[in-house]
Amino acid sequence: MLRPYMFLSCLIPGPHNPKARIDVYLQPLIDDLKKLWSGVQTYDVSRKQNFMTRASLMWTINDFPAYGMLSGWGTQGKLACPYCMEHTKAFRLEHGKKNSWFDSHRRFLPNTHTFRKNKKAFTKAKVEMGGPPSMLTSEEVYHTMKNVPTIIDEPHLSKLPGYGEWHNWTKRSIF
Amino acid sequence: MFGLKATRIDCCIKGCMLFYDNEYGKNDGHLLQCKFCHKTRYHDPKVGTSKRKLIPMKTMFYLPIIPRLQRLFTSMQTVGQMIWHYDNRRPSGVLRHPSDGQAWKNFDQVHPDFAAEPRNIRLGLCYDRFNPYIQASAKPYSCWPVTFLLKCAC
Repeated sequence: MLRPYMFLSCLIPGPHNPKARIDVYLQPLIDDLKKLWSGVQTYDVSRKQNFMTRASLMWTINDFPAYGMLSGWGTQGKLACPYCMEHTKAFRLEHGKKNSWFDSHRRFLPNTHTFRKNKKAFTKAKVEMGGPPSMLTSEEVYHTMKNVPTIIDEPHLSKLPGYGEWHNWTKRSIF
Repeated sequence: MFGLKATRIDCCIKGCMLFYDNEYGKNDGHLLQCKFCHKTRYHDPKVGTSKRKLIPMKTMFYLPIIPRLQRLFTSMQTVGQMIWHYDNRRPSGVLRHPSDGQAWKNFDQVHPDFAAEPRNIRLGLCYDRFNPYIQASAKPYSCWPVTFLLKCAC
């Protein structure tokens, strides 16, 4: 990735972590992205003509704590995994009292993989037969979150009912 | 031709809202107090100094992305790179660029009108925290830059 093709767009001041209220600071950015999706008049020097260019945001690149801030699925606690979501196989260690995600990964292997039948190296005497959890589509995410107010309308949003028990949603994401 | 400006937007000290206007119905640029927590926007002016500029409690920097994207099409050096992914298409099975990935191809299927124009831009948003002052300071200050990556260029 060369330098001309990456540029700083926002600088969000501190001194504290904005947490879920990051959406407030992203508002001008989202306005510009909306404009870019419908098209912006641009001059192309190689063809010497004007054209409508459009842009879409395809990915976000961030670390795991920032993932929780951008996506709206909290990345703490037992339901931290944003792939497994409420179908997680995480458990609490009996004496250490910490959450553990041990042996949650075998279900992502191909069905015929030898590790699935291994009874010694993973959880003792357990053959993993289950498949991976189904992936949420954008419509499903919208359907679950459509009644939750956005952070822009309600910046002091309290914890949603059931947080940490059957879901880990913290907010409706701005994206 | 393009003034690549950086704009400063005042924000509530607690981060509840931004004091700005947009085309989508937001009209908060004139407010002097936060709508939610009622904290003031500016520091109290000092007594005895009548003609002082008001100092905002907190400001964020916004660098508009549209002129920055438009500028890439006005230079002969960068304009070729903008359609690199279209000129250098690889046979399937080779993974060398984001355009070989499943997400890119799926997006093209869902939005064929977007995919038809190779000059359309695909962006990635990077977001992370950094500490601009001393790392081991007793009161760490966290700053959050948001960066855009162009996925179409190499």
